[in-house]
Amino acid sequence: MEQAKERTGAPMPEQAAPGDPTTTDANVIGDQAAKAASITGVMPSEPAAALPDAPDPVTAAKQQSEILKALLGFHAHGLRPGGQAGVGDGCWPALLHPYRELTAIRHEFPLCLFPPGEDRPARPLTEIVDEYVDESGPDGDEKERLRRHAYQLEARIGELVSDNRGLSLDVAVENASADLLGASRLSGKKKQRLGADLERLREALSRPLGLAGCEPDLPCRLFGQVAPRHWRRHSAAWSEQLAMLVHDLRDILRVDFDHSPDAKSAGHLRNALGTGQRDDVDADRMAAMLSRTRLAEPLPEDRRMRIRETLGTLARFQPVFGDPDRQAESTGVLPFSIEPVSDDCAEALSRYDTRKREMVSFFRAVRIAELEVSNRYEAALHDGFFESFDASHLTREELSLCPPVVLLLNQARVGDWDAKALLGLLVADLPVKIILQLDCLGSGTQPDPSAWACALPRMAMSLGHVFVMQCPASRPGVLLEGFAHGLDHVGSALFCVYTGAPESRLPPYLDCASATESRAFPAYEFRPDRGATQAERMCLLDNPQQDGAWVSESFGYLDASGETQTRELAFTLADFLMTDLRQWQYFWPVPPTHWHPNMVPLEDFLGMDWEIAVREVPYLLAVDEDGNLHRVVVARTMVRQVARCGERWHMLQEEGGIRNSHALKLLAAEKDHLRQELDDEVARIREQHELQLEQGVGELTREIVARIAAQLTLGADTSPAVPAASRVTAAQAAAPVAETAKPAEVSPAEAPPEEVPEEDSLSLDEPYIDTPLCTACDDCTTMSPQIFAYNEDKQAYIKDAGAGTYQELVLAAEKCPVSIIHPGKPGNADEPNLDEWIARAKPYL
Amino acid sequence: MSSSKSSEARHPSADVVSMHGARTQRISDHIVEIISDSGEGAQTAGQMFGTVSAKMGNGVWTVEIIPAEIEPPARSIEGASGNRIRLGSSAVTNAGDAADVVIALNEQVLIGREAAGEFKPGAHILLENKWAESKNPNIVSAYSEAVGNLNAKGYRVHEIPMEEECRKFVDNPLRGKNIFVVGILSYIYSRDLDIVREEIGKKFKKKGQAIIDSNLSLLDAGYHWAQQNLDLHFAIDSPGVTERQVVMNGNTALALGTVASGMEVCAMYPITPATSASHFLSEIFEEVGGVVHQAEDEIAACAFAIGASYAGKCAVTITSGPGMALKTELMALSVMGEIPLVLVDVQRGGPSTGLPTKVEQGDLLAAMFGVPGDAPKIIMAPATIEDCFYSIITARKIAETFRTLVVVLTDANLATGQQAFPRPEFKEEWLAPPVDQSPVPSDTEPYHWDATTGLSARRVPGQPNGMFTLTGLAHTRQGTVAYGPGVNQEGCRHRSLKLAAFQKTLKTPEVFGDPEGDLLIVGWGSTRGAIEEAVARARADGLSVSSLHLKFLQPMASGIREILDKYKRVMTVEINYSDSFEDEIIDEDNRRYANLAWLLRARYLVDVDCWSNVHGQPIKPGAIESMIRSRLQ
Amino acid sequence: MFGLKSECVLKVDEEFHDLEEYQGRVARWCPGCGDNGILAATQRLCRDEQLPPEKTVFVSGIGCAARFPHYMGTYGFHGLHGRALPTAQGVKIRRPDLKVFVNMGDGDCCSIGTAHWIHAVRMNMDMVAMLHDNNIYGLTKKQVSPTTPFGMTTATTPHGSVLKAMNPLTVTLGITNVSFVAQAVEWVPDLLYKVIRAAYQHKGFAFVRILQRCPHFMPTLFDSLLANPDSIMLLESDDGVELSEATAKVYKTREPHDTSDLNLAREVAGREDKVPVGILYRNETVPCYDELRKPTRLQSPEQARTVLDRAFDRFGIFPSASGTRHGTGEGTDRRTDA
Repeated sequence: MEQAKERTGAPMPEQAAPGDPTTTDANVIGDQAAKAASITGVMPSEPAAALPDAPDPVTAAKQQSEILKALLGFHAHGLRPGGQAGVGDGCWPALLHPYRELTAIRHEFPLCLFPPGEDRPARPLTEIVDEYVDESGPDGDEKERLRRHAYQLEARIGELVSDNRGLSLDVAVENASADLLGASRLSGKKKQRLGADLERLREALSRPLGLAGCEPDLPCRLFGQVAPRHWRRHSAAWSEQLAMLVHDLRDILRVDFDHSPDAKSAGHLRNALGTGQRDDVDADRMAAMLSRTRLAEPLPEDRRMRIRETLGTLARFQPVFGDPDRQAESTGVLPFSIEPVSDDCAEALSRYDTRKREMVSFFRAVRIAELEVSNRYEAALHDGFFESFDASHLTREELSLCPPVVLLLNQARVGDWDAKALLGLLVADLPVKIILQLDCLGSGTQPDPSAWACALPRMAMSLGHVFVMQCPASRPGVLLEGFAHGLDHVGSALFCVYTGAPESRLPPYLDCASATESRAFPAYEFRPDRGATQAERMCLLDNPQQDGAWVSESFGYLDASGETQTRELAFTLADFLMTDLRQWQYFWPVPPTHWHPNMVPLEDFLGMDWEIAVREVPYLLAVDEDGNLHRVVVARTMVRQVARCGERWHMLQEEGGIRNSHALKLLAAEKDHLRQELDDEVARIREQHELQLEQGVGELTREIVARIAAQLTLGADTSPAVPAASRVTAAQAAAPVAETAKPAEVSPAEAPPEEVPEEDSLSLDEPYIDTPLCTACDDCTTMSPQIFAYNEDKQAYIKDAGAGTYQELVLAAEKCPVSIIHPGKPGNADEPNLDEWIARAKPYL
Repeated sequence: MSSSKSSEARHPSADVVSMHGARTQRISDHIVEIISDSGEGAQTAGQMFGTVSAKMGNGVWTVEIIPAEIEPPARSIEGASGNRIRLGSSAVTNAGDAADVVIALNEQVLIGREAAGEFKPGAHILLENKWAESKNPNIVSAYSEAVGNLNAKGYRVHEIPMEEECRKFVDNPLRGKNIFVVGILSYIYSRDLDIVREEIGKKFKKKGQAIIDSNLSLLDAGYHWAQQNLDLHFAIDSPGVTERQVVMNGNTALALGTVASGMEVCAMYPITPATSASHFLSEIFEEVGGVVHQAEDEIAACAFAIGASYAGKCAVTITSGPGMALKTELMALSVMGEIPLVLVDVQRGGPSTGLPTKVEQGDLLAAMFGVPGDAPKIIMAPATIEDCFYSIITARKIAETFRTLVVVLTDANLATGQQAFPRPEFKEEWLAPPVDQSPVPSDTEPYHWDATTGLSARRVPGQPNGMFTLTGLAHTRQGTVAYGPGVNQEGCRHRSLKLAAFQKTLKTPEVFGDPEGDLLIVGWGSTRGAIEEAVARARADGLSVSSLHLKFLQPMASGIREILDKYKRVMTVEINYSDSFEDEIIDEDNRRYANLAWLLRARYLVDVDCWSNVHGQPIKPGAIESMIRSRLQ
Repeated sequence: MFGLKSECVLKVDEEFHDLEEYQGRVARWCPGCGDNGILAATQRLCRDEQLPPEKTVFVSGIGCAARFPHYMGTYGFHGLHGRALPTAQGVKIRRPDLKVFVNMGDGDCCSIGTAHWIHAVRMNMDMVAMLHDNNIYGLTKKQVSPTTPFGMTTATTPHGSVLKAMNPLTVTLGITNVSFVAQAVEWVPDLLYKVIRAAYQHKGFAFVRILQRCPHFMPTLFDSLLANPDSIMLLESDDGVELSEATAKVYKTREPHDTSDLNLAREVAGREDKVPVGILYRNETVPCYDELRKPTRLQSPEQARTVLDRAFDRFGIFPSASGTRHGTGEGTDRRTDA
């Protein structure tokens, strides 16, 4: 927020008079404090702390305690002293003050809604304007002027839209530019320029696009924009397959007709022969000719009927999924109404039931068609199956192709809801898309009947299978995306949208925005189909200062002496609710005359153990229309709400993976663990290193000694000494290894020679075939079918050696082109001239 | 020259007045020829003039004049390229005789045409005269020589400064000179300029308004130039159009016929003059799920078509004589395997590569007997452009009903000739049924030949329990290869019976003229219009002559014999070679007859004479007429 | 589609085709003819892939190998010498639902049908082409074929063939759009089966050359190969074929290979010391002609009517109001009239 220029409560003239110790003092203190503030964040004692017309300390003290009593009285018991009621009706939370002039701010509204033909559902006007301006011509003065004018136009359009809804862009542009020209005090060249620019803008912008402001019906309108597009994209892929299926079924019937007697009739033939003015072929004679000949035959009656019926069903539903040929010109309007059912859960249920029945009959038809076109439908098998075909047979993919039922719930009409039916819907995970519209986020002392509506999203989330999105109306972009995701989700979806409180003093857009700003209504999305883990499913939709408890901004103002002061302010639930007239009872704006040292900013107040802090009074800073700064005392009940809101937000943060206590705990533990391991490792390495160092030195010295010794004994020749040395080292090195290895080690030499099993020990006696190598040449199987046969892979094996003679086996072996038949030893010893066969068998053993 | 010079002096409007009245000639039939070097747009001009006339309700027949080369040298005699338009106050069935009016963009292209006797004696010749001022002396001399000759031969030559005039409207007169020519003709034949403008708009739509406008200005320029300078103005009855019609050439008609027949595959290999059919088909075929496949050669094209046909839907392959010769083995396979196939042969001059761009009817016997072994097939020959459209539909239906090969013989004359005919009314029955995937009755065989008709239901991959292997070898009813003595006999018998069965469904063709008399002329294919016109003229002079035109040449309808017997003399008129007795050594024992004559003699044992030539030109009614007179003297 | 694959339907839908269903008439090849092995392997493939017999088409030309379709229990087309490929293409062009196999001999494919062979590779239509290469014309009794080894005496080269044999692999690998080339020898069933299966699973034109024995005319041709299995060199790659244990024990020669490297494939294909078997080249990204030309619009009577009417309009002449006012002989330029 940019710094707000404020005047604090006007001090008394004599107060301002020089030489007055208190004031100067105060100022000094104030100064110092202000300086300190930036460092310590300690609440600076405002000049007002120096009390007005205080004749003498005693009465001053008296007054002090009076004030405190009053403040506490309101805080604790909501007792609002008389005479103060009027003050601060126009009070806004200090942080919102700069936004009073909303028209001066460019935001997402008005929103341009595109016709169904275009795949883009909606875009903020500002975006379109910027795009146009950026693309228009080279940078420079001209462009800048155009930009200015564009912004003026844009702002005017914004006003027009908020005044009369249902205005279309082209009309709005016309009117707005007319207004601007009319209103503008420019003249001559400048006015012409303005005119020219407006003209350009009119050309660029005047399209019959719908315009939407941040209004209660926004969610419905946006959903209406998203749903048909989503549906078209979703069903495009298979509408082609469907068309193909219908086409194929029709073809079956066309072929069937071609087989029918009618197709052989003279009348049909005359046309089919396609002769022009003179026909040279006599259709009657050809008819006679064909009818006497047996040609292709028509389908059995039952099948024809089944196909007709199936075709009928498919054709009836085809429009629902769009004609692939007409994708382009498709208006995207669903034959299935996506008109939401309002607040009537039972109605939604029954609508879903009818739709389900239709879908079952449709997909039944689809599957029958599938079987029919591939000639796979067998009455014996399938009739029964399709008799019993019901919703339970629908696959996930098929379910995803059921057009959704839409239920609209207004918090205002919470009384009309059939809560049981609603819970039923959610629990049963039916493909019902619920748009929940909230307009009251605070709750009073006595349990508010509509408050539970606010809790619905969190309850739904806890079911685990429901898609949940929560987002204020002030974020159309997020809404559009969320709707799309929710429609992607096969089961039920809950879209919870805060559309602003009618009783709010803020304009709807600001109201909605601050709902999120104040943590009263955080934006998040819960997508069960994203994965199994919370991390995958839960997603906070960039809430402001998402990692913090409250949003806090620096707030600047002028104190009595006109000095600029700034301090960090938190924007709490209370700040938000302060703007809601229904909640006004919990707030008391007190004029500077009643400011008291025991007053504590709410944020700090929450920090202390406030349930027992009996002498402190929490307050908020607010600014009225005239820019006067007020302290607004907050009633205890409200403080409770704020505290609870804070807790809820923190829970959400944890679920969204921010400051997740479990995670933090684990992290800490893991850290310690790692550090421990690290230390151990380091220690081990150091130890090893030292050991090696020692060894190295040891060896070295030994070697040197050895050399010297050799030198001394044998004179010049040193060679034998070296191996000696190295042998030593080798032994040194090997020793430990050997020792450790010993028990395990078994030298093959010592081990008794084991019996290695002969792989084909049988082969010598039993006949066999290398079946895997058989090339299925049919030789053996034709020579001696009683012996040889093919396995299921059409490769030969010996079915029954005994069924034939040894001679046959040998002959087959000789014949086999890949010589994979091994005759083995003769089974029957007294087979005639066996010796010869044994001899001939040799090469194949 | 003189006319144009003097004209500039004259006051235009006065001229217009004088133009009307006496000097306007009333005509009922005229032939106009527009010729130039190729690429100068004579084709376009001719087609446009033809279309306009058709739209005004005149009978029209246009013939393209095409050089064999794409871009022959400029100003060359054989380079003549253009269009000949015959227009009549009533229906026109053929290209007619010689040209009454010729417009030429240079004198050379005239020479060849003139020599070929394409111009009527005394015909008007409108000639671009810029050559007279050419920098190149040879051109100047060639020009004046040619003009001299033409004048000497009694032609009425009008020299026109076309380029000079066009230059007044466009920088590059080469573009658009042809539209100037259209302007001239529009005046001469009193064409409805609104219709002409409409055509120009259509023609240059893609090129943008600027081009359209400049052409429109050229049109008016031509019109007014003629109006002011030409003493040449004809009035021809243009009854206007009373029914919806279409104008197209034969190849386009073939393409549309293919679409209308419901066939989905056309496999081809480029060959003149057949290819243009595939060009147009390629433009629209995919719109109906079809595909034009250009194969690596004629053989592959035919094999591809046969494969597609075997897989479910009759396919077509379009070619010309030399291509058909290459396909013969596959034609035999189609007959032997009883795979439906439509083969279109757009006949050109033969033998061998012959006359690629010119007309001939020389493939009849080749189509009938070209295949080794006995290969009965159905052969039909469209006689008009309209016929080209419907014949494909008929051919497809017969091919699938009788499981056979159908050869459709058109020719270059039909292929490039344009004629208007009643707009066909689409009938769903035309379309081939979808691919049959219904289960095959277990008690049938792949060749379940009917004992009497030889017909059998065809099997298509995908049909449950219909599995069999189709083979070109002699096969049994089960489709199994077998060489037993009976097997091939039985197969051939049944395939032949199918032809007889089909023959039984043919109507006896109608005689044109009296049912009996001195002379009957028998023709087939594109010559019908010319023959009937000649016969009509002769009959008008009291000669006893009639004609008979055959569409189905195999099998031939019953009742033809009876017709032949009713005339003292029978002869065929064809565009293919036959010996003439004028050659010294030709006599009854060695004379080779024209294609159809052979067939008629063989089948009906009638002494059928023939009169034919292979000039590569459509036969002219005049020529036939004089032949008739000589025979009947 | 539509969850049809979901078991509930499949259960009732199950019908198993066993190997017998794929057997046609009794094979009449010579005893010991290598074609038997190819037939067995192919039937096994059909069984394992559970190809619906009525949706499977075997197309062949002329020659011993060309009898193949008759011995299959599927649809078959035993066409003309050299023309198997264009015929098969015709079968496939409007029938994506059909599985198409082509069986050709070395004469069929590499001699009379060469033009078609080259263009079939280039068109890359989805089918399996098996070249039964026995290096000889068998059915016509031992004439020299393009793949007959140099110097081999045949009926037409009594003094030995004078030309070096053509190498079908290098030829195929040299053609634009080649997308699958493999080689197998028919006497190693396991290898043969796996190579054919890989070919079948490839999307596009899969060319498999199979060395095939002709015991009748070339009894000794492949003896050296049969005698020493080490001369058979299996190309090894992650996406290559793997031999079963039993086979691997006999055929041990391996060569690391990269089936995506066309140049390497060409080099290996040219090897003369050993016989490379397995997959030489595979590239699924080559576009298929049948995909490129698949109908953009389904044919239907309505569609045909629309297209024809459009065309008739284009060439149309319509009754004009000014119908009979022509031919008066006056200049009919409306402006000059006025």
